Amino acid sequence: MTDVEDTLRSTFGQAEDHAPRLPATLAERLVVVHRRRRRRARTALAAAAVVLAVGATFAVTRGGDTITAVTAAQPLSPKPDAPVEQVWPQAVLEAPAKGPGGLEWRADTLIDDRTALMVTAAADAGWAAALYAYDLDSGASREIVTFPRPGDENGYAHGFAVGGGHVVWWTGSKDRVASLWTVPVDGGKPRLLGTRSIKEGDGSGIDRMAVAGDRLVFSLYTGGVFSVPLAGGTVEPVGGGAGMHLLSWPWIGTPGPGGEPHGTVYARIVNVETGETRTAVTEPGEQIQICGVTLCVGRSAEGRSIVRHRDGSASKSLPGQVALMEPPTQDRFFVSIYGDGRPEGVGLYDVDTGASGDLGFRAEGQMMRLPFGEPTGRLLSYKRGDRLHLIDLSRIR
Amino acid sequence: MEADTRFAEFVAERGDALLRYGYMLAGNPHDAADLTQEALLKLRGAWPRLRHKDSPESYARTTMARLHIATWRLRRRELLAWELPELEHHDRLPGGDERRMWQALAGLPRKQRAVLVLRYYEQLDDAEIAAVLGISRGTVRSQAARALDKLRAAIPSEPMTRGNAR
Repeated sequence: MTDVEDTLRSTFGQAEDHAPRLPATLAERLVVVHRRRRRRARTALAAAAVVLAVGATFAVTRGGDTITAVTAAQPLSPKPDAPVEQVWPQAVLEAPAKGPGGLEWRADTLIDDRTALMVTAAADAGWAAALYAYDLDSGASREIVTFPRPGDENGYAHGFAVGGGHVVWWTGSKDRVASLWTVPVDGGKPRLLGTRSIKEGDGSGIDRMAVAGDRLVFSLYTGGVFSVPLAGGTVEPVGGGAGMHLLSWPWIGTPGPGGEPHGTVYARIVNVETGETRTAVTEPGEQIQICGVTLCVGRSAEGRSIVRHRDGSASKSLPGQVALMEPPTQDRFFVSIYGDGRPEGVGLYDVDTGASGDLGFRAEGQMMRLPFGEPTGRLLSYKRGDRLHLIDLSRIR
Repeated sequence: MEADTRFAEFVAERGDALLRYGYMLAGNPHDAADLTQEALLKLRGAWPRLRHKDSPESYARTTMARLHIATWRLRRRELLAWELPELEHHDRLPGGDERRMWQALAGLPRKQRAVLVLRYYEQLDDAEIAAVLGISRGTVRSQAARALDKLRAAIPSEPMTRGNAR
């Protein structure tokens, strides 16, 4: 026993007396948060990971990958035909798992056909440290911006979206004001475009952002679509956007993906440029969980997992009783956990052709990693060994 | 719902102990509260999957230690479910070595601090620590040794208060 070990024990012993106490009603409040979060885990995953198998009870994002707990009894997809790089070699790209400075990084979205937007994570705390443009052909990376250390005024950057030669993101302050930022893709000094209160709701803030022409558009988790010019200016509500959520510009819709359960997510969508409205058709006995602009996913009255058009046509049963938390991206692809009775791996499935590719993940006990997706639905990325794998779904014809 | 009731009983019985443990890991009441809340939420999520042999408390403690050292911090998705007084608790520690030690602990990397908390607060042996953190025993030993070296450097022994200078 050394002196320092003695002091450690007595320090921890004394610190016990100064530890905070739990409030008496905490358990009830946690149960409420748990229920809300269980619903929202789907949302987080829909944004982060394309799909989450049913029965998942919680999800943590870590290093850009999503880990989800899976229950043994859940229905699973069939094992894919072959590794994804054999099935779609033209679509699977690689990058090092670490970026400049040896920091872990992830691919957040595509800037163009050959350039990925990469986000490095500060080693100590995991907040976004810097953005890079990574050339998928040459392997060269170019810094776009380095973020300051998060503070009370500006928390860490998230919600990255690219368009019109700009990268946009937002930060939240301690007093719940969202700041909207932009920087040219070519690099430069970040510019504050405007702010918007995110005091309503539970502090989740902005649920989706995009660049639309010369404006940044975004919607709040609690509903409401807004825009601000990329040149800077006033944050204004988008006409017809009250209570709505950004789906894929110019489409906005309701109900949003988060919050209390309220039927089919994005059941009604509106094109804010043309005024066209589309409402999802639901047949008696069906449970349609969520719709995109074109496709919806859910369960038929017979309990089969189905994908079909929003207007009710072109219904397809999925192989295996999988539950998707997002419509297939590119109107074709979904990610699902496969296995014979218990989760064994993760596959990428093509609804159109029936082809499937194995992403090469293995279950870690009851945990299964899922790839990281992004709102445009074009890019999937995941780490395997010391390489980052990227799947550009638009390369699959 | 029966699971909710049993969960509530568990939180009522063991919540304070978990929060104390979180305080040792995090070093401040706010992060301790965050950590405890996150772990309890995960526990609630996992509750239907816990078998009789799985102790909810060890599940929660393991989750807290791992969450604390996770490289990527969880986004704070929920605001704290309760308010904490804006007090610098460690300032109320008595003076001398313990207070300096508490401050020196704040300078350690998370993994090193977690190893020390598990060894000197939770009284776990190195094999148990390795299992909780999901690292090898060798790593536990090297992390602990490095942490103790740093603490020794930060807290020069004072014959006036401790008596036995090394």
